[in-house]
Amino acid sequence: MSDNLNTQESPPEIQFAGVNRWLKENLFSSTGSSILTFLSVGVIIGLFRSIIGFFISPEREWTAITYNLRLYMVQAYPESDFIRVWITIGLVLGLLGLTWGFNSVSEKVSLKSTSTTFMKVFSSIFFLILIAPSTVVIDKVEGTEAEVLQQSLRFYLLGIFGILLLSSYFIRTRLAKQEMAKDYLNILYVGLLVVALWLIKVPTVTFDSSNVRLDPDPYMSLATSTKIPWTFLYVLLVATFFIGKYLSSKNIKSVKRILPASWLLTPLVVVTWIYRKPDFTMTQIATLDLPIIIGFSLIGYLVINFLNSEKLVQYQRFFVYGSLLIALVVFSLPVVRQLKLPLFMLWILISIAPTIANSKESARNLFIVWTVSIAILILLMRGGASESLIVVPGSSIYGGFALTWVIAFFGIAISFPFGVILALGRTSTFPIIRIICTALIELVRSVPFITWLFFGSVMLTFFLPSGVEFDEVVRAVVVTSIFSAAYLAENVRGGLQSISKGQFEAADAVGLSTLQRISLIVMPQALRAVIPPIVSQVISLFKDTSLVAIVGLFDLLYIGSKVIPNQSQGANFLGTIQENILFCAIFYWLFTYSFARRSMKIEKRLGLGER
Amino acid sequence: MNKKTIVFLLVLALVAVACATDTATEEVAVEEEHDHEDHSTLEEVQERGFLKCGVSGSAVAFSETQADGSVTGIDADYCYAVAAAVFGDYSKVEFTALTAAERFTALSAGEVDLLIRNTTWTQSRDTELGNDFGPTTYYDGQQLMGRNSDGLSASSTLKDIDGLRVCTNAGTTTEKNITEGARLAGAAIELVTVEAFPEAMEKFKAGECDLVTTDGSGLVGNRAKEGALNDWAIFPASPISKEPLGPVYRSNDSQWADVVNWTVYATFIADEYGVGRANVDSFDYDANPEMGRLMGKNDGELQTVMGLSADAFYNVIKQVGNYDEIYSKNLNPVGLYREGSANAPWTDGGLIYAPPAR
Repeated sequence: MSDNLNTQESPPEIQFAGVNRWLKENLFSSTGSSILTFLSVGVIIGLFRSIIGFFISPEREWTAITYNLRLYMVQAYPESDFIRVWITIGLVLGLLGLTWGFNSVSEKVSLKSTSTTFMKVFSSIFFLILIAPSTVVIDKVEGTEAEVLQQSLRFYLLGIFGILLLSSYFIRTRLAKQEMAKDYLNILYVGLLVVALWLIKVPTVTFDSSNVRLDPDPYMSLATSTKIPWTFLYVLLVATFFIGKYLSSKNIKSVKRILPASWLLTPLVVVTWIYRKPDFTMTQIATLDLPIIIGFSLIGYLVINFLNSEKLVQYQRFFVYGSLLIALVVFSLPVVRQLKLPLFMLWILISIAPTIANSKESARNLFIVWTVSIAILILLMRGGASESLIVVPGSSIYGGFALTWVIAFFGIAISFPFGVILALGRTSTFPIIRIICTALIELVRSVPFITWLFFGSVMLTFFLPSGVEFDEVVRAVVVTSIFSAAYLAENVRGGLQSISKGQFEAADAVGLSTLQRISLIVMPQALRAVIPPIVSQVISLFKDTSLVAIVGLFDLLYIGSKVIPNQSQGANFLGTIQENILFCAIFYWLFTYSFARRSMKIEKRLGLGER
Repeated sequence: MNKKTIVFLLVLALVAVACATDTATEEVAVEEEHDHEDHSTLEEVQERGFLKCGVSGSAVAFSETQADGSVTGIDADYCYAVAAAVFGDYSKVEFTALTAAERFTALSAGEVDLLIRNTTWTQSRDTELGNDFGPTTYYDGQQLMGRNSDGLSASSTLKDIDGLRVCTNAGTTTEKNITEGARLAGAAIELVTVEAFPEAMEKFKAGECDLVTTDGSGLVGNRAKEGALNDWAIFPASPISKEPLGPVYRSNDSQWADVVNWTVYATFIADEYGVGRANVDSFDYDANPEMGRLMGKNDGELQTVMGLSADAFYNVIKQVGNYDEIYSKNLNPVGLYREGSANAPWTDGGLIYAPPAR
């Protein structure tokens, strides 16, 4: 940009100087470069041909994936309870639509650039179909050949993509000036995916009456069981998008607070109530949970209004320590769990009430927040603690992608606050806190992840008192989050060190308390600086979830690499390891790449690396 | 807010919480009663209502996970059989997938009641780890696989491998067995060691070695995978090592051991007399009193003494099948047959033998 002093806002459009001139300048400028051009074109075509050959070879059993998709996603989760999985997805999509609509900006995209992208995509596919190998040697010993891509099918596909190519070219030339909102375009893309579910045929394994596997029929379409829910969910997504847009136009402030809270709450509700079928009776809720909720709500009311009176506020310190003591004592006593956690929350309420509830309105708000959170907490505990009525024909409800996702999500969600606390503890001036945090970080980091997983799976049972049992999945989640928190703490500590001393001093000079200094001045800057390493950490945690296979949990990769290639009964997919591993690789890539894209957007929004 | 209201609210709050705690302590008390150490595994399982069975979950024909998440295979079928004997309902099993490394720890920690995970019965595992082994359900053994084009066949012996290259995984008993076996037979072999068996298989397919060696069931599975039934030969007929696979349970629990052992024996005996799923109802038990006793057709005292219902083994045969049915269903599809192997009934020269039921 140094020699270009043009200060125009948009870069000047590059004029296309003609195919001949471009070719001459870039590919055939001399004899040597012409030879290189031909050589590399030959190599590229050969490479693509062998890749497509791998995909469409009749040796490939892609049915191993389509037939086992259910195993890949939820392992043994019973079919009769799939509605719970769909409700879970629906809840997330609904929230996604609301958030998307609420935060939507009227960004417009010109149809020209969109159709250019489509032209690129369609012409690449056109080219790939054109060079696809038609025959592949199947049997190395006997030398028989099988037709892979029939010429008629090739022409059929070429025709389809030719038409698509032409129509996008038509849009590019005729409607170049038109613009479209980016959000609507994205809705259209997702809609096309859903339409594809109805149109595209996927080979499916079928059996005859005597349970013998038939050759896959390539003209069977996707199972109806997923087509209809996805269509319904798409409608839900679009509807919530417009609701979110409407709320945004009405400028309702409370939505801004409720949305993040619902995002935090959703996974907990899903895990404790929706994904399982809690065994509870209404009498339990009426005799146990309701009194506790009402009781704590009343105590909270008293704390908020009574503790702020001028006479008592000077004794606030005693109330704080007293409530902490009570919470700790009750925690060690054999009383019902529903009483233990609220007491800790009460301690927090007593600590913060005088500072927050300083006006009549804020006291009312705090009371509402208190009652709602106590009610949610108690109900979540009721759901999580009661037995699930879902009968699973295997070891665990969770398996496959559901397991990968649960471990990754809760691993990240738990390790993030824990890691930040550890980082703050390590930089603290209190020696005892600093030593504990440093020791914990170093201990966790110095032992391999696999060892910790073994510890959680095999040795933890010997340390716990008899009768106390944790689910294997819970143990894996706990180990993963502690391990990840130690690494995250070091990343965050790096961010903390990048903050100049002046910032701390300035915060002290304006009279901020320690908590305010950390939460308002230090942390926002420190976290902003370490977004790239934190995203790396998230990506590596997501991939590390595949290690839980060594403690006997079936994650996505283990199902692909070990379980399906060993299925000899029923459909018989012995030795289909290449197809399955490739599928897993694409699946992981989709997720990690979208994490990376998301973080790039956040970095851009925060102006990271520019200031 | 006046003082009276405050006191009233406080009292109300305390009463509400106290109400809740009253009911709560009862719940805790009930929970604590479940703490049991000295119960036998059978009582524990019956009280719990389902059997916890440790399997591999990804072993061809032994315990596979199917597309709907269900577990099948010969190991899984014996889990189903024990559940059928204990509950009269084969489906009351919860499978736990265990890796080779953690299987014995999981058993001794009580995470599973029964371990059927293609585990070889050896002296050290039986005596040192606090486990006991039940009757063998599958006699495996190390064999070799070579190409028919090299002049090898199912009737070849270790003498025929003189001068050939053998691929195997390093540092295992497999490697030791083939070295010792070849030396005893006087055959000079070139040993090519790799890290894991799939690698050895790749080298064999690529022609970098003439033979591969591992457990017979593994070789057959790999031959079936590659569709080379007529091109590759597995030999010698009597394997060069003994790998008896069967159920494992914790030591010092005689009652539970009896339940597992006799469930396995019941499938053997039913096979011996030709009683299977199809004819278990129509079989003439008066003509065969031993089967009558085993199936609980007269008084069924033999079963009730063990702590099971009289028709426990009838349920096993009715719901899961006899040994031959279990074997054929799971192992025939990958090319393993009983005829002529150690898994043939004792009357045909095999090792499948059960003590009499009387």
